[in-house]
Amino acid sequence: MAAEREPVIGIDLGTTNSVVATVQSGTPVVIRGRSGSNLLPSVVALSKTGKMLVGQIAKRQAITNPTDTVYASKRLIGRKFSAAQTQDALKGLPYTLEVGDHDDIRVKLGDKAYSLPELSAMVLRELKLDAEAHFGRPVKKAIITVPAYFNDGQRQATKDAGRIAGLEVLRIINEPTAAALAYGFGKNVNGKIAVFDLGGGTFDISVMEIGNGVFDVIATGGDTFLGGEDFDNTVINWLAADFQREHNIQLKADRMALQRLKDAAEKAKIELSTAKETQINLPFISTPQGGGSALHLQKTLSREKLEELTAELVARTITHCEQVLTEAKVKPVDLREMILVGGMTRMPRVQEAVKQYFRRDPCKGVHPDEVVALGAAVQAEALTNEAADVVLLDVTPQSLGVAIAGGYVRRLIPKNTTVPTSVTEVFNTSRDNQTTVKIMVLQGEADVAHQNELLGEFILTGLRLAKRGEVEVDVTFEINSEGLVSVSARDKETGQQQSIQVTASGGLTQDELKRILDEQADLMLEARVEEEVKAKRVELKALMNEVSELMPQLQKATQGSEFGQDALAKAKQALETAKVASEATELKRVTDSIDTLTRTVSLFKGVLQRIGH
Amino acid sequence: MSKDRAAQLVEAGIWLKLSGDREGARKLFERALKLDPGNEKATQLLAGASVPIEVEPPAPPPTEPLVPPVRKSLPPAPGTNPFEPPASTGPSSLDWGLATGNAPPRPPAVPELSLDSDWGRLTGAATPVPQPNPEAPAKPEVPWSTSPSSSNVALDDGDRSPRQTMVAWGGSAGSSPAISSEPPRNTLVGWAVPPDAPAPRTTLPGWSPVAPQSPQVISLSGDAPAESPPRSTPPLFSAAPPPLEPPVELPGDAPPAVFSALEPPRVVEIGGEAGPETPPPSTPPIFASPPTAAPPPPAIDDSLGFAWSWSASSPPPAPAPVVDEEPPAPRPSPTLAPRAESAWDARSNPGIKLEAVVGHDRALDLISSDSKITHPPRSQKDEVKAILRGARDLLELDDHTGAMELIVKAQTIAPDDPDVQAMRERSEKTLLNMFESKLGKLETIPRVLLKDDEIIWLNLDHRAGFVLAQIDGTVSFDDLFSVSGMSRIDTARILAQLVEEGVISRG
Repeated sequence: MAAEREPVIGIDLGTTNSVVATVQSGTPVVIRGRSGSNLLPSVVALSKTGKMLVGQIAKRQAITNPTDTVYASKRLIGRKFSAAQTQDALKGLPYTLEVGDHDDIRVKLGDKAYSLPELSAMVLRELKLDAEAHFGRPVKKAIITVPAYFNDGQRQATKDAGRIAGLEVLRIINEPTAAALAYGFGKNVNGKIAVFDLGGGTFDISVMEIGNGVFDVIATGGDTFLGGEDFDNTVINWLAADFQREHNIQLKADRMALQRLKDAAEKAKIELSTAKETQINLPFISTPQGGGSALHLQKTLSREKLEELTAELVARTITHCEQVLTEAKVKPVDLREMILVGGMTRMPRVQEAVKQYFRRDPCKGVHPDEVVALGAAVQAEALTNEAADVVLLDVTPQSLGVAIAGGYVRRLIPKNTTVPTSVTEVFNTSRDNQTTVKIMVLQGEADVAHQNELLGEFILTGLRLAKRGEVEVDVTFEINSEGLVSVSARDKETGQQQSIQVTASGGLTQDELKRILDEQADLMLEARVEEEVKAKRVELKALMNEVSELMPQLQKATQGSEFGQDALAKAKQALETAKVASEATELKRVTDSIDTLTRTVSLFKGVLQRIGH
Repeated sequence: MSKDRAAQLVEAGIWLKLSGDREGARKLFERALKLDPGNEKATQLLAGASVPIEVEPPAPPPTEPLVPPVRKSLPPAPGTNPFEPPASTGPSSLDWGLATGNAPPRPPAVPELSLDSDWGRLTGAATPVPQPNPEAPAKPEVPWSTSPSSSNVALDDGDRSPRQTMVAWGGSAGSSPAISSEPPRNTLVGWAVPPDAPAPRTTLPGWSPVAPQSPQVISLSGDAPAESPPRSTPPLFSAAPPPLEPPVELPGDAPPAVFSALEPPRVVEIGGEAGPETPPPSTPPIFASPPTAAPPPPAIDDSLGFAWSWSASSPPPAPAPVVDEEPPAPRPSPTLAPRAESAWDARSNPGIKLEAVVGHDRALDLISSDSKITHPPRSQKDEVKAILRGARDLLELDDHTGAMELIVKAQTIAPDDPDVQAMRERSEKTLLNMFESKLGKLETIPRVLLKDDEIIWLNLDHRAGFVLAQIDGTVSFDDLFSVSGMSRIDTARILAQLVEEGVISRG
C-alpha cells in the first residue's frame, strides 16, 4: 500500500479575509475552519483580558478595542517605515506603529512590539491549524498568494510569515495567476484575460496574458483603499444618520453601537446580494443620555437603496479598469475571459457594471471569495504531484536593473524571467577620467531610477584614466534557484571586480527571524502539550463515566458475596484520584489515571461477562 | 463606642439608600439599632423616612413636555386596552395596586455607579447618585414641594432617577401623574375645563371613569395660546367631581388679583395634559406627599394616558425663598367629569389603607428642615474609613454588591488609598467568582433562548444589548469576555443576569 502523500495547502492571505484550500481526489476544495466558516478574517488583536485573538473573534472586537486590534497588515508588510505608503497609512490607523531597527515596521500590542511577519504568521498559523484539523495530521507545506504588484521585499516578508507559522512556503504566486489557475486557464484558455478583484479592503484589476503555460501579468492597478469595508461604511452612515434624525443620538460616537452597526451593515450587504430587501434589527442599540430604556434600531434596507448609496464606489472601480486597460493597451473586446474575485463582486450592481464595461459575462462557477485559494491549492498540488497539470515556474516578479547616467534605469532582467538566470551587459564611463563607477541595483518597472526600489549598491574603483565611453565595465546579474541576486561589475581591461549579493528582505534580519522561530517553537511545544492534556482529559472523563456506569452493575452482580468488594473499593478510590487528575495540567497525572481506569474497566467487563451479565 | 459605631452604620446606610440599595441600607440600619437601640436616626430611616440630605435646587423645568422615552421603543402590546391595568407589575399596575391598597413590591431605584449596574439589574440606568450639597439650604417638605426627600418623583420605565417633579392632582402616591416642575413654591397654577368638555368616553370596571379632558391653557401673559389641543388620552385618575368651573380667561395685561397676589408672578402655559403645581383641590395632602417609605412612583406611561406634562412659555423665575408655610388650603376642585365616579370614591377605590402600609404610624412624619443629619467636620480619611467599615459590615452580611458600591464611593473620595484598592480588588474577585459560577463552564457556547420579538420586550441597557448581540452560537463565554470591550466583571455581571433571567443558556 502506497504511503499517503504529505498534505499541501494553498493559502490566500488576504487584506481582510484569508482562505485555505487543498486538492482532494483531484478536486480543489476549501478547508472549512474550525469555527465553521470558510473565511478567516485577517485580524489579530490583544484583548483587554490579555488574550491574543485571531480571526473572527478579533474582528468582532475591532471597534471596541481599536488600539490593540491589527487589521489590513498586508498593506504594510515588507514596507519600510519611512516609505510614503507607510506614512500615509499611519494617518488612518488606530493601532500604534513603531520604527524597527532597520527602518522596518513594528506594531505595538500591549507592551510588546510585533513585526508584521509575526502578525501575519498568527493568521497563517490559524489556517494551518484548520488544515491540520481537516487532515488529522500535521501540515507543513504551502503556497501563499500575494498581489501582483508586491515587490521582492513584500514577498520575502510573506515567506518569513509562513516560516514563523511553521510552514515551508513552496512558492509565492500572484493572486490573479491563482484565480486564472482555478478556472483551469493555461490549459483551455490562452490569450488575454482580466481579473477584477474587489475584496474587503482593496481593489485590484489585472490584465494577464496566458500562453504556453506562462501567466504574464501585463498590467495591474487599483486602489489599496477601496473595498467591501467602504460599502459597509455607506450603510453605517445611512443607519446612523437616520437614527440621529429620529432620536438625536449619534450612534457612531458609541463604540459598542458602531461595532453593532458595522456587523449589521456587513450582514445586510451580503444578504442583499441574493435578496431584494433585508431587515436590520439592533435591539437596545443605545441608551439615551438622560437615562431611560434603551432604544432599538429597526430598518429595512432594499437592494435599490444599497445600490444608490454605493453607486460612487462602483463607479470608481470602473475608472480604475479604464486606466489599467489603457496602460496595457488592451481594449475590453480583446479580452478572452473575465474573472471576478473577492466577496464584493457578488453584489449584483458590481457584476452589472463589470459586464457593461467589459461587454462580456464574467466567468462564474468558482466562488469569488475562494477562487484565489483554490488556484493556490491547484498549484500546490501540481508542484507536489508528479502528474501535474500546470507547473508555474519561479519568475522574477519585477524587473531588475542598474541606475545609469541621467537618473534612468537600464533593465537587465525583465519581470517574469524564469529563474535561475544570468545576464551580462557592458557599460561605459560617462565622464572623462572617471576612475570609479557606482552600481545601484534597482527593482521595479519605472524608467526613472528613484521611482524604483533600491536593493543595494556598491562602487567599483581603480578604473584607468580615459575619456568618457572608453572604459568598459561588464555588469552581471545572476539569480540562483533560491532567488538570491548577485550583481558584479568587472573592469574589462584590468579585470578588477566588485560584487554584491542582494537578498530580498522582509524587514527581519536572519538573527531576528531565528529568534522568533525559536520562540515559536517553544510556544508550539507548549501548545501541543496543552492540546494533548486536553485530549487526554476528555479520554479520562469518558473512562470515568464508564467506570461509574459499570460499578452499580458489578455491585448488583456481586451482592451478598465478598467477591469483588475489594475491586469495587479500589475502583472507587481510582475514580476519586481520576476526578482530581481530570482537572490537572500535568500530562503524566492524567495518563496515569487513564491507565488505572482502563484496567478497571477491563476488569469489570471481564467479571460481568463471566458471571453472565 | 457602640453609639459611634451605630452612627457610622447609619451613615453608610444612607449612602446605600441614596445609591438605591434599599435592602443593604435596611440591613445597616438594623445593625445600627442593635448596637444602639435608642438611635433615632436609624429608627426613623428604618421606618422608611427619606434620607434627609440636601440636594441642589431643582433644575429649571424643561421647555418641552416630558415624554417617557421608553414608549418610543416599547409600544403597548397590540390589542392592549390602554385603560386596562397591565398584567405585569409595571408602572401602571403598580399605580393601581397602590391605589387599591394592593401594591406589589416595587423594585428599588437603580442608580448607575462606576460599576454601571448592580447585580441583578441590567438596566444600568444612567442615574447619578444624588450628591449632598452642604451649602444648599434645606427645604421643608410640603406635599407639593419638589424636594428630593419627597417620594413624589417621576420615574420612567427604565429610569429610576428622581426627577424634579410634582404630584399632579387627584392621584395617590403611586398614581401620581408626573409633571415637570418649577422650583418649589412657584405654585401658582390655575386650570379650567372648557364648558364644552366632552363626556367621559369609557368606564372600565375597577377604574374611575374619566372624562377626556381638554384643559384650557391659562396664559397669564397673554402670549400663550388660549387653548391647548385636547389630550388624546384621559388621565387614569381624576379628582373628585366638584362643580364645573367656567373657563378662565386671563388677559395678559390685566391678571386677576387672585393670581397677581401670588408672587413671583410667572407665565405658565399649561399644556393640554398639564397638572397644577398647587395642591389639587380635594386632594388630601397625605396622598400628595405619600409615606416616605414608599418607593418612588414609576414612569408615567404616555401611551396609557398618564402623560401629564406642562411647559412654561417663559423662562422660569428664580426659586422663591424657602419658607416654612402651611400648604395652601384646598380649593374647590375643577370638575373634570361631573357625576363621574372618582378614583377617591370609596365605592370604586378604597384608597390606601394606612394601617396596611408598613411603618404607617410614621407615614405622616415629615422631616422638618432642621432635622437633617449633620456631618461633623472630619477628614477625608475618616470618611473613607467610615465607608469602608460599612462595606466590611455588608461583606459580613454577604452583600457583596452593596459593599462594592460603598468601595467605589470610597474610591472616588480617595482614589489612591491602598486599603480601598485592596478591598476593591478582593471584592471584585469575589463578585467575579460569584458571577462566573452562575455561567457554568466558560468554554461553553451560550445560545439565545428567546426569539427576536421576545427579546425586544426585555429591559436591557445598550451594554447588555451589545453582549446579547454577540451571542450567535459561535462564541463561548470565554470569547465573550474578550469581545465585549468591557471589564471582565461587568461582562460577567451581564452574562450572569442574562442566564438567570433565562435569556441565554448556561454553560
